[in-house]
Amino acid sequence: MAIDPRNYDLDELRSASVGQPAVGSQDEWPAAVDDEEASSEPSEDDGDDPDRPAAAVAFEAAIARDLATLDDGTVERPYLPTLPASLSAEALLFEWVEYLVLQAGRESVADAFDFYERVGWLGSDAAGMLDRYLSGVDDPRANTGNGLDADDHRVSLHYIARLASFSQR
Amino acid sequence: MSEADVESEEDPEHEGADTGGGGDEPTPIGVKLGSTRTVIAIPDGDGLRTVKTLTCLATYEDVITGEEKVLYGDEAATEYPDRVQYTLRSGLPEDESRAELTATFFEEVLEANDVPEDSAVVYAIPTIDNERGLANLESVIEGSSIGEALIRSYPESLCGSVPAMGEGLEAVDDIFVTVNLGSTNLEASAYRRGEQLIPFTTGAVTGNEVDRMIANYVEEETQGRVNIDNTTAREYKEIHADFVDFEPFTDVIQQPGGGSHEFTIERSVMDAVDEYVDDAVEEIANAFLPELANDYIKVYQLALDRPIVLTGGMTCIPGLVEEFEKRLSEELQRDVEATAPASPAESAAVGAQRIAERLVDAEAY
Repeated sequence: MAIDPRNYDLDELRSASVGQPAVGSQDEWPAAVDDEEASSEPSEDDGDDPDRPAAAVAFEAAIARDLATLDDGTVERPYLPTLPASLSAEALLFEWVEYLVLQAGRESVADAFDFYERVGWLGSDAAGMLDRYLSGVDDPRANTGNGLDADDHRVSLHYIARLASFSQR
Repeated sequence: MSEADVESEEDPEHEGADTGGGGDEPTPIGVKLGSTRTVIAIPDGDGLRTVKTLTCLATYEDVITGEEKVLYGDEAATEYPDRVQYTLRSGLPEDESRAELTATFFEEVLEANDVPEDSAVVYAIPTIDNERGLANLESVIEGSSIGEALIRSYPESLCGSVPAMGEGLEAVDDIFVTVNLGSTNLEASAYRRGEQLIPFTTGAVTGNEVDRMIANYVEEETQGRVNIDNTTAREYKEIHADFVDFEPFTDVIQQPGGGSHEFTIERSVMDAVDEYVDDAVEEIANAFLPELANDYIKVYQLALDRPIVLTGGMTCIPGLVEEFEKRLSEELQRDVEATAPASPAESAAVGAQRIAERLVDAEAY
């Protein structure tokens, strides 16, 4: 239906918009990466604490579900020794770095990469390369007053697991 | 004919706009055909003029010519309360008869306000899963005299968020959650660079339901002495509801047997809107956001660290945005921020007009 608001032309809308996405264009967000979150059914795991907000429970359950899918029992620290060489992985890397920058600004993200290296999520090669990516990403909408919290680190682990899965292919 | 409310305002985004459709480019226009109010945003010099009118009409016979005449908007509601028809009561025209009435209403508004035919029109439309209603609305839109150059539609929640997020189309480049607190629906969506994610709609928490609750509570508060209709209840809500500085108010009704009765309302209005905010927060915290968190981990996390954009008529109640923010933060056990456009009732049409303007600039017609 021509006027169905659910079927608007996204490309036309984005073209009409003057502002530019901070990281590349939509073409750099391939469907394979973009649909990573395309969902399975909501988790039945409602957590142990009935007073916990439903959205927080759903968020953690979704991450746990995805990590379980990516964890084949053979992983070793550092989980991501080097960055995978793959075009799809490049897009995923930018998406991750952009996410962190939007959440807390570049300075906090640099600290986070150091932290991930210390706890064995990143190898030194991967951490060094990520710092170089970080120097190329900025966004005026970044919440520079924010710090990265535990949920943000969970999201980072999610990205690391997905990037590591590229290395195993 | 009726005269709708027409306001003009400076629009910093709008430069050298065509005011009458007489130039080379079509005039970019934004339209929201709402269940309670219809708003049309039209370029006017360096700014916009907005036409606002109740989405209703009444017909009467001219006593001299015998011709059937049409009144719309506030005049229709005030002068013919017994026969006025709200043509989009459920958000979309439910049947062909409603579609015809809506078409008549819309043409009357367009004609009375000189809305140019050579135009590119963007409609802000609620995301309701109602194929028949959408087909009926499509017939109204396609049959209208405007939009000769281009017709597009976008979700009302996206259009309404545009003025809240900047002076241009920043909303199309951003990641955020928006909640439209409308008369007939509560809609929530996340947007990721213009892409709508997890559109959520419920008809259980609505401005119309608040009106019904106010009418019931007024009857209770006056020990059954006062019965008001939903239109009066809506007026009480629009005039008196205030989370910041509510003051009890008095009104007078005429008794059926003669005489009048004066009464004071202390609780009925605020009890109803207070319950409404609780219900809205409950829907967002426990239905919409868990679904978003489950399906879009990063969008959920990013969006909650940014202001949630509230739009729709209920957002006009003073202090409602802050109250929603406080209660949602408590429910989620984390601090969230809420924001609203400066003129929530007009924001969908104004946002639609900005999109139309950019489509004209991009020569999308």
